[in-house]
Amino acid sequence: MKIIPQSKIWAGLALTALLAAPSLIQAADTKLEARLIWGTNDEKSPNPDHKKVDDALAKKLKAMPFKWNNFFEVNRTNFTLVGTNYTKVVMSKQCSIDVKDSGKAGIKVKMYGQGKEMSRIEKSPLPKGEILAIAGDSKNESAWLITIKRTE
Amino acid sequence: MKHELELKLQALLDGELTGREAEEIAALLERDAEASALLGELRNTRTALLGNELEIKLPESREFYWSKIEREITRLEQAPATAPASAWWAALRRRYFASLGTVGVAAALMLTAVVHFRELSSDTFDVENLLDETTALTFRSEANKMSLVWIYDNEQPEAEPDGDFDDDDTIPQT
Repeated sequence: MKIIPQSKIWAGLALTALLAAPSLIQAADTKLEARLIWGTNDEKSPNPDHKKVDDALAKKLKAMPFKWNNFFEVNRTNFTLVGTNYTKVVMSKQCSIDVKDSGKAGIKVKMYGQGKEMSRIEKSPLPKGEILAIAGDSKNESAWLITIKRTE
Repeated sequence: MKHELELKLQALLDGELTGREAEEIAALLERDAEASALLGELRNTRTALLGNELEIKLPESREFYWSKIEREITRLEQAPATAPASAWWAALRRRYFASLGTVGVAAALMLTAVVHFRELSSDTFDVENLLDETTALTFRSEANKMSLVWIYDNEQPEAEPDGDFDDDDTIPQT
């Protein structure tokens, strides 16, 4: 019987572990939270269903170079990325995003407005707690924001 | 025939027996034809060997010949004094050089891992704008752990206010 040197066994194990590590990392599902937010200087939203965002997020948003003081949450969706396929998330009737794992511990986002793809964004990595915000002008000197945060 | 008797016959031939032993063997040989035949055979063999043995003559003197042997013995006796160095080198080769291949594989694996995890840890914040009428700006706040992509309309930087805000108003102005 041919005896395999111990060093070769260790090298083989190390190679196996190294090759398996990325697949194990990628095998974990990415759980995200997307919010559609309205930024305004109005104290109240015309829609009573819109609540002010929580203090933690409001503090972060106010620290950004925005001219708005109040931020109302219009919609919130929690979703999970499975594999490397895009997941569609509808934020409103005419605004949606496609999100997928970038493969580098981050995400790739396709931004749609009125059914048209507007832009593609990659943020890698996107660690837990980090927020990616996509925003633009809205009517009446207000703004829309989509925030995407990794929850797990 | 007993082996002891065979040895005694050889000893008789070599002149190694005492006088008494030689007399006893001589008396035995008169009675034992087989022993007598063996002695004759041994004697013939000895005679043949002595007459035909090659004589080797040394090319140098006897003293010089033995001095060469003595020097060689001395040299071999001193050889172990230098052995530790070669043994040390052999051990080094066995321990390290023999596993050079393994070290190479390990280095290649580490390089692969470093490249892989550098790729994982590299910070990418890219925006690809797909519409001519819009432009995107990016801003990063490390303190707030927030990355912002601001998309604005080149032709209509601000929409006409309608005094209301609902889900339909939250779409990007394209």
